[in-house]
Amino acid sequence: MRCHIAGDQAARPTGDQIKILLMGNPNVGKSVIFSKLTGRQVLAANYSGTTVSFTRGTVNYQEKQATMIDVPGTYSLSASSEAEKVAVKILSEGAHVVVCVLDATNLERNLNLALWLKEHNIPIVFALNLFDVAKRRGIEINIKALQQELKAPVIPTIAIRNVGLQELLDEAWKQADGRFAEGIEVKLSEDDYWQEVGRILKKVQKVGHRHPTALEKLGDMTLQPFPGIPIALLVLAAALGLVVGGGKGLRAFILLPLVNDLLVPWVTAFVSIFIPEGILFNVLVGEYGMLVKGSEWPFALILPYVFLFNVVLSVLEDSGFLPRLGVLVDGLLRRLGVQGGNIIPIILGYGCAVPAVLGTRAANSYKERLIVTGVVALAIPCAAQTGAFVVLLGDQSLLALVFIYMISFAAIAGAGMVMNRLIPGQVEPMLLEIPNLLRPDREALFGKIWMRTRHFVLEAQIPMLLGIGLAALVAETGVLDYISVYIQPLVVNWLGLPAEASLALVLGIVRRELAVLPLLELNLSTLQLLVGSIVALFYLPCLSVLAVLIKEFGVKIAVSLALFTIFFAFAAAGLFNQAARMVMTVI
Amino acid sequence: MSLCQLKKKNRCIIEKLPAVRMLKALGLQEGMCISVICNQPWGGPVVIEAGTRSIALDKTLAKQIVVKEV
Repeated sequence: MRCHIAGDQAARPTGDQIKILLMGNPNVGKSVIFSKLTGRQVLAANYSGTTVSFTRGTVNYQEKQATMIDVPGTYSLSASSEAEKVAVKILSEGAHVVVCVLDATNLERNLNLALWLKEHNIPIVFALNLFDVAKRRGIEINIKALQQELKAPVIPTIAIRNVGLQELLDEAWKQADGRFAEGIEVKLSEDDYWQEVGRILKKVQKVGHRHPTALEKLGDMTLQPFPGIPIALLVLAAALGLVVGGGKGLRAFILLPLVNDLLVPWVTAFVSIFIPEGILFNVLVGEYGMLVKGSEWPFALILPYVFLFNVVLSVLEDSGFLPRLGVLVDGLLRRLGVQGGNIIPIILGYGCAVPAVLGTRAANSYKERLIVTGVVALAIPCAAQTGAFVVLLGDQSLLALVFIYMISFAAIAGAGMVMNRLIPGQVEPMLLEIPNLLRPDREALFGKIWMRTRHFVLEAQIPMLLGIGLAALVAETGVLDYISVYIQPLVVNWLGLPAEASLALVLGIVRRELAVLPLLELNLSTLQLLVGSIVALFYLPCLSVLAVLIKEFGVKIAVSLALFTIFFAFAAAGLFNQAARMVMTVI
Repeated sequence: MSLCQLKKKNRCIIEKLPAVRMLKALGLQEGMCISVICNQPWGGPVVIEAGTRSIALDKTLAKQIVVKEV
């Protein structure tokens, strides 16, 4: 993953480079400010815990440079959660200046952290973010009075629209002044702080009475079981419709013609200038050639679904709807051994398992991390694989597609319940602040969709090309007939698939959608399509997922999880095949 | 009475909070006036309104919060 690259330690800046820490409560817009100031895209979303480890970037200011660290959001500095431990550690290593971001719509809770930070003896500048939203809600904040109380500069900002960020940087630079300050550790009673917060608040803030806005009313409605649950179902159905239906449209009317009528003939003509007809020519641009399928599969078949999923996910994230969904499904997810907030990594998993596994860091307990990771690795198809399923099954029978998703849901429930029993530990009680429902900012949204889609194109293209090249080579040279003898019992007898299908299994290791796409060319019966899809659904997570599993959980857990998914894929699909055949002979 | 027993839309004052750090970190304090927005089904959380914010609280936590109805 390109975003959230985390070093192991927050080292001191090199030479005389200034070090700026960006701190604040969760979900106040630190990552937005970080992206705007450093030009480095990091994922931001409207829920707490988007930044699970710190990110470092460089800020340019009047021909000078500074290192900026986006510290995970914390409510306090008592080191009571993973994020707080990281924050405390970074702070204790010292900095030239801290930029503390305050949420103007929620000053009370934010001031508490501000007071904690003040104690650490590092020069500080406050950014009063979401200033516009606060105004709309009738919250008036006296900036001058707040500056006096905090004894530090306070700059009102609307980070998402770049308002106030230049002043913020000017002020930070002035405060930093070249001196490196060591962070000192402080221990004070929490109650004292809250009293102080109350006193300051009385002086600086006035809340006017006014009617709630339509968005606030909707925000309240989405929290109630009724009409919240029907609304949630509607939203999810609309999302699914957009991805599956819209993807089909994009594929059939725009991307397939573009690739097949323009790109492929052009590439074929180009290659034929240099290479005479023969094996190499066929491997490159033959019917199943690497450059032919290598263009068609990722760009025409998979990209539309990945792109539209990114659109849907980004809107859901930025609106603040996902934590509300978490509250609504908490009771249900608890049966699977995880609390409702984990719906966020689960939904991320429908895009790609890599950010989902990283996202589980925000979970409260190790048990919950393991369960969510297990469920995502085993039974949740990523967006690319969903695209492949739609192409493979959707054209033949929509029912088959629905059936595969039913199996996926059943497996999620089953796996969750089993892991809840097997893994020791408790489900942490839910304690979650629900963010405001916001209208997503268009520019931020486009940036996010672009970043995610580009990531797919860059990440998927080379493994896909190589995989397809390997497949073409195998098909052209007849190696497949040779190995078929060995895989006959498993693939042909047990799964009831043609021997060529074993290619999909080999390629599925590289990328999840490659476990599905080769089946397209085999003229399979509906039963065979279903069996192949079940194998692909449960089969090994792809190489990048395996890598992230090893990084997050160690080799032992990663390898056992991978081996289990392979075993489970063959067992489930084989049993399904045998049972279906038995039923068919009886009938 | 405990926060769990409070009916939807009713207001109350927090009399006693359990010793859970996060409660205070989220800004809940004894003497604060809150109201219940809703109770989620299947053992889901209680959603309360404190000031301008909504907070979802697990039932097991809500049970330990002593409140006085107003």
